[in-house]
Amino acid sequence: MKRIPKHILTASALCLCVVGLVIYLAIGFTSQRKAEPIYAGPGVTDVKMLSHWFPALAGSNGDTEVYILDSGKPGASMLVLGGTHPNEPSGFISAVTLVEYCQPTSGTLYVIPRANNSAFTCTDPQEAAPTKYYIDTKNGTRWFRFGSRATNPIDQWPDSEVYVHASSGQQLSGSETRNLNRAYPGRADGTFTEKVAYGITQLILAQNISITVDLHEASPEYTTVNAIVAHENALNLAAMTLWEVEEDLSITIEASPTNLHGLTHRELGDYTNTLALLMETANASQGRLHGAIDSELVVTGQDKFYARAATYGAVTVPYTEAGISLSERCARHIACLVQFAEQYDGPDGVISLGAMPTYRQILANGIGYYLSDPQ
Amino acid sequence: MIKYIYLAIVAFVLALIGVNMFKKKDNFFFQLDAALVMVTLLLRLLLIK
Repeated sequence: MKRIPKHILTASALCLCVVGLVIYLAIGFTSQRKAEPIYAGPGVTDVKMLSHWFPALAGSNGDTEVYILDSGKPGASMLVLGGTHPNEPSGFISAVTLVEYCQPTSGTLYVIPRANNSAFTCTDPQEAAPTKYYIDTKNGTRWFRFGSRATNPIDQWPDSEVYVHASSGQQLSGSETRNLNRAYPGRADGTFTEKVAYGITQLILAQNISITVDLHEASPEYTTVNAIVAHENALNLAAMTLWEVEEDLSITIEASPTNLHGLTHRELGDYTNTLALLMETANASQGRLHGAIDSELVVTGQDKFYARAATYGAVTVPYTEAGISLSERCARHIACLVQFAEQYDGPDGVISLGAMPTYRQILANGIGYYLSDPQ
Repeated sequence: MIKYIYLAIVAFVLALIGVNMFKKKDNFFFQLDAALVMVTLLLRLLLIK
């Protein structure tokens, strides 16, 4: 009987190992494509997909839920974008809190928790970021995905060396090609990311949205943090909001630079009638100074390296060993969202988000208290 | 279209590596290197990562 050569045996054994490893890794990678549940609260009157406003998105990873909270009373409308960058969890969790807790008393609220749905399905390369983080609610623990700043390359590839913003000709690093917040107002025949931006712009135009707020986070050493960035048309609204919230929290206003294109606070203000605003909070799991990223860092915001950096003046916000928790970051977003609505008094009427928790209540109870229990 | 060209290149390289792995004699570490490269190429070919 002829013996099988040794190198054939080892190659065959390694092939089996490859198949096993690929299956194991595939289960891990594809598990991030499973969306975390969002439970429509009592204020939600309808849920549509973004493809309702731009049908070309239907069936793609760019299609995403739009939660509509209609008070039943005519008035102004507000669109809240969470998850433009899914590695900035306070924007996403604030949007989820609106969906599950908010009951507007006048006007209509539109919420897109996963603005860049594709970017929830992967993490940023070389960041060793967790794929999930966990938040305790009143009766259980819920999981949420920690995604990427950019669209999954599975949905849009390859990146150009230089990203040219379509409507302005502005040139940016090729790494911004898949960044939703560099793609506005978007293009119907553009890249995947541009199509998502186009869909959101179409929603704003079709529904004549009065206020659009894009919720973000940035690293504690970034200069634009704990800030509202406002299109020139929305500066008055931002100023009145700051006036109302400054008793509880310190926040600054920045005017949207006229020569920085592709961002919500610039393009949505220029191309639509909406008052475009963007908010930033300080997220220790971003930036370059943090230690290992895990769910605890995402939720507690406690990082000893950032605390030490703060003693050298290397961060731009007050930062101690206590960190800046996800609850505090969401409390900032929600307090300002409530005031954006309250302070708005346009020709299309008023909008009120109803009895939302205050900044201090969220700090005291934690953001999980205002989320639905896992079902 | 560019995606399919990319996938064809990946499949071709993967096949070459596989064939070479079975041809290489008395060099286990070469085969191990090849197997590790095959893992990443397979994940890309299947559009998982």
